[in-house]
Amino acid sequence: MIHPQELYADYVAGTASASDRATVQDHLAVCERCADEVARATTARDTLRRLPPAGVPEGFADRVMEQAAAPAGRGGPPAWYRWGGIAAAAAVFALLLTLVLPRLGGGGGSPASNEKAGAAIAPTMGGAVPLEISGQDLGSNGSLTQLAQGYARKGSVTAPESTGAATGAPTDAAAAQACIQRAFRTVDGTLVRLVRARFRGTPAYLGFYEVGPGAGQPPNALTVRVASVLGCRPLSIAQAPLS
Amino acid sequence: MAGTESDDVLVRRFLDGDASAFSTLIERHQARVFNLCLRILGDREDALDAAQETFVTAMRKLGGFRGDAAFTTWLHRVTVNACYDELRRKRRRPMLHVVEPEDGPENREAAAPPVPDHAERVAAALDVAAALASVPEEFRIALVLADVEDLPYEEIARVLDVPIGTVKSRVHRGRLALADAMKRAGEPAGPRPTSEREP
Repeated sequence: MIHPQELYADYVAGTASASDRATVQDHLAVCERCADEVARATTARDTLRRLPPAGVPEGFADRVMEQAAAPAGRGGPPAWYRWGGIAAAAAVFALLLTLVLPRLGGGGGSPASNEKAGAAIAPTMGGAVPLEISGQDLGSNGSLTQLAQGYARKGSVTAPESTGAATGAPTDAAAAQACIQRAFRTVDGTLVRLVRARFRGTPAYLGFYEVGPGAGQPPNALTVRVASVLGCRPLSIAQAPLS
Repeated sequence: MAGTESDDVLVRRFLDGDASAFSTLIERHQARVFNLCLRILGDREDALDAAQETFVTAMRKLGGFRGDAAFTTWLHRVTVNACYDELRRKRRRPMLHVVEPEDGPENREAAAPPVPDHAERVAAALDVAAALASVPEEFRIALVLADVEDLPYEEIARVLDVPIGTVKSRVHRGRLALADAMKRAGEPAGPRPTSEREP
């Protein structure tokens, strides 16, 4: 007797063709062993299909985004250690800029020229860009792209409309930059503005970066990156052409 | 909450620099991925690790996703690979296998719920999860994709990159192994019945 076992998976799932179904049914009518086998397979399938779905813990997506933003590989140093190291390195770098830049610029340089020199040395650090602290929710009025366009239209994002911001300590600015870096991993462009505010209700750092096509060409676009203060997760990113 | 845009649009947005698009993809697929991991691995904590690893790997490798397969097929493949990694890790760390209820780490007695129906469901799910854990890995993965995730055999073949005949054979043998394990669990301790037929 030939046992058409290759048809049983489809027969049990209800996906067998009409002729295959007839073949199986004819066989099961005369083969007790196969009838028992198909009955057991059907019971197993029905049992699995009745299993209730398990709930995903709250905050799962946030944890994934946080882990994705961290350096690759398991078993590295704990997050607080990495964070502390980055913040400390950024703070030391900022201090070096403060001490060295006036000499590089011929002494007594204006803040603007200092920023320019800083940008030339380390484009992504953006020199001594202060951290502005705003009480506003910068994600509440339209999209982030509109916010970027608003700043980009001013021609220079170094003199935008006031957000009514106070200025944080230099170490806060370094920590904010490190947080954005951690959230987005690849951060290109020259940092021209740094704001701590709320973004759609979440405390966030907003970094404004001028980006260009490279090859010594001037910047032609403005990128805004938004990272959560807590956990340094990427919240949003947008770009607008500089006019 | 998980957005209305298609997976392909969200993938494109993410590759264009919008990190929030990936959050939407996670929210949309997290339940399916977590359940797949849970049924394959049989342990909630291991399943959370594998599900997390799935999305982190997916995020980092999304640049290599060419769009010639559906995003869900690609994500299932990443999930299965993460489960295989977790199974390999488990084999390297000997430990007692404890099957937990779906809704927490309490044991069955401690988790006694107020409604008898719920107690029966939890107990039944525990028995099935324990029985499923005894099904050989290769069969179990095909079985979970077919009967928990409800994927067509053709798609399982694409996920596992094996011929469809192999998928059907694994699923059928997995069903029989599960049925045997559930029968054994329902019987008093004693010698196991021998298989009626060579697979």
